Amino acid sequence: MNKVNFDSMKRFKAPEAWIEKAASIPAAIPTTVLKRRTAFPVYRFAAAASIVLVSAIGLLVFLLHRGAGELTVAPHSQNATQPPTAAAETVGESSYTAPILSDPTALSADGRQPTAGAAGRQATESAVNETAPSATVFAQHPMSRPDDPTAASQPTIIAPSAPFPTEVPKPTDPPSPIQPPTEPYRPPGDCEIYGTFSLGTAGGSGNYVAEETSIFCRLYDSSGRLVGDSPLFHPQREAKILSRNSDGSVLAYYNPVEKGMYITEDSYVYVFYDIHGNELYRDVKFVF
Amino acid sequence: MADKTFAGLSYDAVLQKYADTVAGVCVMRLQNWADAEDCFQNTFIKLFQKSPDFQSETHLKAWLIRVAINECRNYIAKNRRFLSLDSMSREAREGEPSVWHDNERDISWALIRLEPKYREVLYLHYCEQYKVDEIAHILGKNPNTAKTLLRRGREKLRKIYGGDGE
Repeated sequence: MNKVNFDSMKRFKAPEAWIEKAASIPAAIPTTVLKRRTAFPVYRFAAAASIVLVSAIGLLVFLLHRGAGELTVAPHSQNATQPPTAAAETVGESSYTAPILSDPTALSADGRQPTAGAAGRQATESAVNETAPSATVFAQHPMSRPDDPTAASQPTIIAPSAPFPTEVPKPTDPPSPIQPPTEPYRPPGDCEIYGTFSLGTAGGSGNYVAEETSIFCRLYDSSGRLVGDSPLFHPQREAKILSRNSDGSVLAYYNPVEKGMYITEDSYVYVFYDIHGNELYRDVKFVF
Repeated sequence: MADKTFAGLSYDAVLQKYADTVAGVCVMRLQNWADAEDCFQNTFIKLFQKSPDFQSETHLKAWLIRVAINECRNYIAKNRRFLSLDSMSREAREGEPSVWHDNERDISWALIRLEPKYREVLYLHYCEQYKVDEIAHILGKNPNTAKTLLRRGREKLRKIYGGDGE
């Protein structure tokens, strides 16, 4: 058996031809190849720049869309979030601009007149704004709020057209106000309203001022809604006293169209009332 | 270009000093003179093109062996040729050693029959006089792995060659 001598392994001798060929490598390799090896890797720089650019564009788009999507609260919508007054709690009024729902003396569909008691005074007090001409009068005659408006002497009839919320209304965006026409609509029929009544007689209450000269008028359409957005003691609702009789009665005149209100063909219940909100006279008017 | 130095040596000096080492590694790996020559030339081309900074001649030699092995692996993977023992026994070409000493030829013949992983370790250990740790560093293996490969290579070579060996 042969003995294995590992040390006998010798290195291979490289042939001379190989060495000569390898010696000619420096002369054979062009300088451009060597320069290209040391060239700056442009593709790496381009790849990095593209990544940075795409990231920057994405961030910019995100910031722009986020800014455009931010919602701002309209200033007038804050009034809708104010807590309602005591009267509004009973009738659901949230602002003076919508006294239709807050007026406890609002006429029902069958035309029954409500009482002009404490509930009526309470409703008028809540409907007064800064422009009310008789603000000083109210200061002289402060009225106390009833704990329960339904505890009046007579039951209050609430117009069924609008349901009254039983809880504080949640703040919502106010509806866009409908721009009234520049010219009041003039139906074919006349809109003049006349009423003869005594200032000494109120519709169920004896609280009145005999020498009171400010008389107002408000209208309710066939569905029981108050016509007009102005407060109850706004000049837009002020009626004229055409004449005074010897027995103390007066002839009052009111034209809603002259006052800038929008009137359509309908049957209206009009109510004359004094500065304290006491009802003086009411009747039905058909406009056609 | 002629002024390039590699670990303090000129290109021609490196070629003269390490040509046999690179050639042996290529032949051991490819078992074919023609293919070995291509890898031999590619190794020195890479040396000249890359011109790395070598800390010492030992570093340079290890770098050359490593590059030669990689060139051979790439060549095999590219060509997917099955090397046969007949390629070594054919008629000698120009430049090939025409005369083999009996002992060398037998050892070489037996070495070629081993698997490449044993072949490299045995060649570097016995022909290039590398230690196990140096072989592990050149081949990128764990020293224990290199030691195991060396031991198993010896056993396999002994079986192929026959006889009681060291």
